[in-house]
Amino acid sequence: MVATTRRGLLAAGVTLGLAGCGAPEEPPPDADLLAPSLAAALALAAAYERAGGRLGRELAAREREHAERLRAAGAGAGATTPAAGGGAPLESALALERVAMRAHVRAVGLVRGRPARALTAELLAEDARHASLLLARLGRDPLPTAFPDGRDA
Amino acid sequence: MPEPLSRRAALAAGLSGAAALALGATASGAAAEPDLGEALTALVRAEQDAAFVYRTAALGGEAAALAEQEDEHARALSSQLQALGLPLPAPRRSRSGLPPEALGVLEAGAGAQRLRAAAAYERTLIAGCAARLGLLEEPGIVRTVATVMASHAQHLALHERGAGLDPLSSGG
Repeated sequence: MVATTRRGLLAAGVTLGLAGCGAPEEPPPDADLLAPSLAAALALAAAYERAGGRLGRELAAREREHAERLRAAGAGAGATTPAAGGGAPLESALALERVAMRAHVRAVGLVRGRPARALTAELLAEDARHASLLLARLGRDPLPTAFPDGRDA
Repeated sequence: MPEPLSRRAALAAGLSGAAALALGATASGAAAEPDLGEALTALVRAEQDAAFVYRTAALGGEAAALAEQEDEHARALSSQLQALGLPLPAPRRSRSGLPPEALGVLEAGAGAQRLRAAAAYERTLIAGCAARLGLLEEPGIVRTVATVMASHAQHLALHERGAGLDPLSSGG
């Protein structure tokens, strides 16, 4: 068996730290926790529409669906829209996918409702899949990490 | 408690409808497991099995990287299991006792047929993670399992591309 990597240890334990080491803080309401995921999904839909082509059309539709499902789950609309950034359309979309993944990872561990947890886990898996597709299109390693959480892919 | 996400997640991760229905049944069964230790043990064992499959199946290409990622998943989940003071499952040494979808990868013909079997196997791994998420409480464990599930979704996309399947046509 290969030695445990720093990345693996982080994946196993870093989020424990997010919960804090002292008295546990009450997490925000689910609506607030889901809001960054909604903002990212909307930004991604717009980015994929700009990218165009079949990939852009298909993924824009998926992201619009993500947004609809997040709204149905009660996601708030108050989160700051992540900037698409400059550069090539697929690079910009990849950056936004990473933003979305980080939002889902934060939310999945904190939301109280089981349906909200299920939704954020599913959206994380879907956006990780999108990121992998984009990386392949860009000629890069489509599996850069064993724990896709938006920090690498 | 509503059944968390099993069938839906499986669909989103790229399942055909019929396969998703089958996995939905599997996931519902798994969701009935009342014990956190049992859930984590099953997840560790599934990742150990996956590492064994990718080391053994002669998939070529990214197989070594996939095996290493499955090992990383197993180690991360094992640390959670150890934190509960529970024993680790013994590492997989042979194909005896592997689930049918894992055996399907080992027994499939070469090339695209084997990659399709690997895609089907990854769908079961996704469903296994999805089914057990609802049993977990601690945020760190939940996030670990969610990112393992996301990793399997990436593996699935890789196999679909390799097998000549359209990764845009199967959800996600």
